[in-house]
Amino acid sequence: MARIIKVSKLNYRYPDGTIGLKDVSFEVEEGETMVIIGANGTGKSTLFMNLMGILDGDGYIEVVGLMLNKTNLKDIRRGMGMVFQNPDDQLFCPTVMDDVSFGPLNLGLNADQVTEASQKALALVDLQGYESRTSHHLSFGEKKRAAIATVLSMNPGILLLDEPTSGLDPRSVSKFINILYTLKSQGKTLLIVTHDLFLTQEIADRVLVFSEEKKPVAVGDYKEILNNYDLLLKNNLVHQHRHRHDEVVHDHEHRHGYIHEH
Amino acid sequence: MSLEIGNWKFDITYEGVWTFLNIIVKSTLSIFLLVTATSTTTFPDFLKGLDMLRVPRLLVMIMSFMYRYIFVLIDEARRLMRARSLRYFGSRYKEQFRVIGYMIGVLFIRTFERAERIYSAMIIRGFSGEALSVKRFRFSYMDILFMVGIIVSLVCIVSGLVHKIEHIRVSGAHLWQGL
Repeated sequence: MARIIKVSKLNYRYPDGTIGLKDVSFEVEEGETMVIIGANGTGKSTLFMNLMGILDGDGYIEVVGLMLNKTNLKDIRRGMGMVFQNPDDQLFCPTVMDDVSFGPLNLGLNADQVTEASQKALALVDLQGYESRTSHHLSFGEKKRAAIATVLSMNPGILLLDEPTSGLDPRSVSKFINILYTLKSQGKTLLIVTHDLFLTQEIADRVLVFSEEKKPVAVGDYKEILNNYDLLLKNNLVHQHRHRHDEVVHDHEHRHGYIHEH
Repeated sequence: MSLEIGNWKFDITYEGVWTFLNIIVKSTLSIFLLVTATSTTTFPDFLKGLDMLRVPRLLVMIMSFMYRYIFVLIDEARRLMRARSLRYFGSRYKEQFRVIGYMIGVLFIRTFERAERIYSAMIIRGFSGEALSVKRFRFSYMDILFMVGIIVSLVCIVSGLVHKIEHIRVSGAHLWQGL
C-alpha cells in the first residue's frame, strides 16, 4: 500500500499561546483506517484542522504526494473531506439536499451529476426521501448521518471524521459503524478521532494514541494498542474506580470487553 | 362635505377618500399576498425565488443562515437562561443586569465561534463566495393556469369595487358629486 498522508514534526500554538499540538509525526497508508484516540483536549481535532489547512501549524504535511500549502489547498480538499464533531456546524443550508449538493456544486459538477452524487450519498447513509427536509428538524442521529453525506457526495478518497459516534444512542452507533464498514470496503482511507474504544475495536486497522501533552505516544496495530492497559490507563483512555459486582466491591480499570476475575 | 364630531370638524374631500381607499386596497392586497406566499411556499423555495428575482446573493445568503441558525441560537439562549434560573435565588436589580450582560456576552462569543466553524465547513467543501443551488424552477402549464386565474380574479375584484363605489349615494347625490 502507498503512503497517502505524511505528517512530520507538526507543532501548533493557539493565538492565546496555548499549545495545540507538540511534535506530531505519523504516516497513513492508502485504504487503511487509522483511529486517533486520546482524552479530551489532547489536540486530536486540532490535528484535523491542520490537515485540512484551516489552522496553519509549523511542520510538514503531505497529502497524496502534495505538500500542504496555500497554492494546492483546493486540490487537497477535493480529495480529502472532513466531518465535524457537531453536525450543526456542518449542516448550514436550509434543506438536506442543499447541504449535500453544496460540495459537488462547488466542485463544478453539472446539475445532473450533482443530483446523482447527492442521491448516492444519501442512499449510503440511509437518508433517502430526506432531500427536502429542513436540517434543524432532523434528530441528532439523522443530523450526524446527513453531515457525513455532505462529504460523501464529493467522493473523497480520504475521510476525516471527528468524534463520529459521540452523543449517539446505541442503535445510531450501530448504523454509523455499518456506514464506516461500507466506506472501508470501498477502499476509502479513514482517519477517525475518538475516545470511544468500542468504535476503535470495531473499525480500526491501526491506532495512534495522543497523550495529554498533545503529542502522539504510541502507534500500532489496534489489538496491540487496545491490549496495552498501562498505556490506555496512563493516557486517560480507561479509568479505575470503585466498582460493585453484587456483593464484591473493588477497583479495576474499565474497558469495553475487558473480562476479569471477581 | 364636512363631518362634525363634538368640537371637531372634518372636511371630507375627493382626494382624501381616494387616498384612504388606495391605502386600504394596497394594505389588504399586501397581506393577502403575504398570506398566500407563506402558506404555499416553503422558506427555502422563497429564498430561491428571491435569488431568481436577482435580489443580491449576499442578502439571500444572510436570510438563509438566519433561517437555519435562529432556532439553534434560541436553544443556546434558552440553555443559558435555564442555567441562570436554576442558580438564581433572588438578588438586587444591579446584580441581575450584570448577569444578563454576561449571558449576552457569552451568547455572542459562542455565536462568533460557531460562525468560524461553519465558515471552515464551507471552505473545506470548496466554497469560494458564490452560493450555488441544484434546484431549478420550471414554469409549467399549471403555473400559467394559476397566474391567469389570479389575474382574472383580481380584475373581477377591482372592477366590482369600482362599480360599487360608483353607485354609492350620499344624501341622494352620487358619492363623487357629494364631495
